[in-house]
Amino acid sequence: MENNPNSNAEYSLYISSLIHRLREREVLNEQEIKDLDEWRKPGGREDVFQELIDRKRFVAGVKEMNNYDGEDAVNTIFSRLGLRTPLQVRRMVSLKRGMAVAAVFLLAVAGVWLLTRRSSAPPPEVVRKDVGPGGNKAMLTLANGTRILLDTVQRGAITSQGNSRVLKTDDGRLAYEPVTKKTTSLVYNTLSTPRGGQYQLTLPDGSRVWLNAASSITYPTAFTGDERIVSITGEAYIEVVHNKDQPFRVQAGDQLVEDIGTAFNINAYSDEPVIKTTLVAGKVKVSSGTATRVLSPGQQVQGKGSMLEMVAGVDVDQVLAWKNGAFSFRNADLPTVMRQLARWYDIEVEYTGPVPAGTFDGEIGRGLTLNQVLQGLAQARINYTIVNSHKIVIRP
Amino acid sequence: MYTSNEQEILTGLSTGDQAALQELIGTYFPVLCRFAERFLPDSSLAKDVVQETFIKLWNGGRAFESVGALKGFLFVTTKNGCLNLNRGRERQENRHLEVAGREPEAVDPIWTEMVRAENIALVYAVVRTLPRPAQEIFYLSYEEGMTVKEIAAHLDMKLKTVKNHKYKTLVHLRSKFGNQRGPLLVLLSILLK
Repeated sequence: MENNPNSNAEYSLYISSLIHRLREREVLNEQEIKDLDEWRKPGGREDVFQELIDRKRFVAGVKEMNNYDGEDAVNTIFSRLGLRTPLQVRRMVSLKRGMAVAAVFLLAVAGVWLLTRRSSAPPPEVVRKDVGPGGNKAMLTLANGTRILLDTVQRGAITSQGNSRVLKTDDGRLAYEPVTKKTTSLVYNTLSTPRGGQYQLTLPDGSRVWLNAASSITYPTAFTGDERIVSITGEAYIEVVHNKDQPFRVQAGDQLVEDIGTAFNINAYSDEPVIKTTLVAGKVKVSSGTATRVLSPGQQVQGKGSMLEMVAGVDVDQVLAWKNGAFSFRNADLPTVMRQLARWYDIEVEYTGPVPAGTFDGEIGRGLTLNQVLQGLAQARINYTIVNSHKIVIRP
Repeated sequence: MYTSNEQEILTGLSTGDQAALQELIGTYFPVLCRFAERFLPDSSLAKDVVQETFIKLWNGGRAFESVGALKGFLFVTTKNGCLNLNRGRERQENRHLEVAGREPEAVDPIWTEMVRAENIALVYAVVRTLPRPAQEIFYLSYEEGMTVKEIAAHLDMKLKTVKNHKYKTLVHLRSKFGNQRGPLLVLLSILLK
């Protein structure tokens, strides 16, 4: 054997593949058997060979790999290479406000919430004319700029755009059905939800999109090109229909998410500090500037500009709570809670003085009225003043 | 012999694609750690050596002419890292062997260990991309030769669920590893049963 390490490496890979095939009961040809026998001769090799050829012993070696944390290694190595700056996740330094802040709002069937602990606080201030929760509201902007309010339009066919028929389904979704296979130039529509709105859309390839409040998605009315590209603002959950010949890509601010037959949630509100993409199923590649990451289910990537940070062990149910009718908070500071409430109830929130410290854990049903939610805030000892039904001011 | 995935990693590295580095570390960090421990039994030192290998890989101009050259770099660099930390020890061990009347190995053990490590890497690279339940099902099917029915009983799952996992795994492997000849195809055939 030559002393060239490359050829020894190549040879080792060759022998390794022979052993693999032999173990999997494939037939080796004469030359291959000879080469393998030759390899087994020098001292110490026969034992290794016997270990590898036995399925049970071999698989034990594969399972051993789980003792090492590859994901942690990625983070450490990337950080040492300066491939991303670890984002500082700002946590409230002050103590949690005890059980008052950990008040859990439960949405019972009747829509009334319960507290884990009563307090003897004075009756809370409420808005004079209660504000209902958000609902299925959205606006569709056609290629020629025509705008259609989807909450008021009738079920059934709405119009046709490019190669597709546009309709409002029986269950109140917007759907695109391809009519002809003619390739014409791409025609774009935009679906946007107001504050207090949410909507569902079925794209012409069958992929489904759930839009949260104050969000939008721009997409071609027929996917006739080499790829399927859409762009979003705000927050969307997407279930992509797999088509390896026509990759699906979502542009959200700085982030580009490329799927391979997946379901994922993107949170790209411009008033949130980072863009978060969470993978529910399948596999995606996320790019932001020069940074790229590949996600496995249950993983989330947070990013801004050319920085992407992986977060493992994300609670997917919590991330998708909005789509399933609830707000879900874990260790959320007050501004984070208020931003989400603001989008759903279409209110403006102002802070006089320093933002009250402490973190929130719990769920709030999205079907509650604003007053019900404000009552909950009062119980959590948040001091607020109502200016009008669209503005509240929070005092320290 | 190589999967198309490895070719992609090779190309990706040369163009500075971070996702390619991430994929490589995901499979080869555990593999190289275990390999390193055979030369440097202290596992936390071994871990440091392996991290260094990837640092050197990324910083050192990542254009390799072949997958074999890339892997050769990984194993040789790791082994050298272990040797550096082990300087005095090996010479001593060889001396003991000589005294006992046995010759030290005629062949550099790195190549033997590389064959062992690569064998494991081949299967680990595939299995690690599967979700946990599918991994368990794969191991039971592969190791014990269990039928779908036996697996369902063993894991206390519905038969339908197990079949579903197997099917999804097959689809996933096909899409990830494509029309591969060679070792990976054999792995797929196990799942077809």
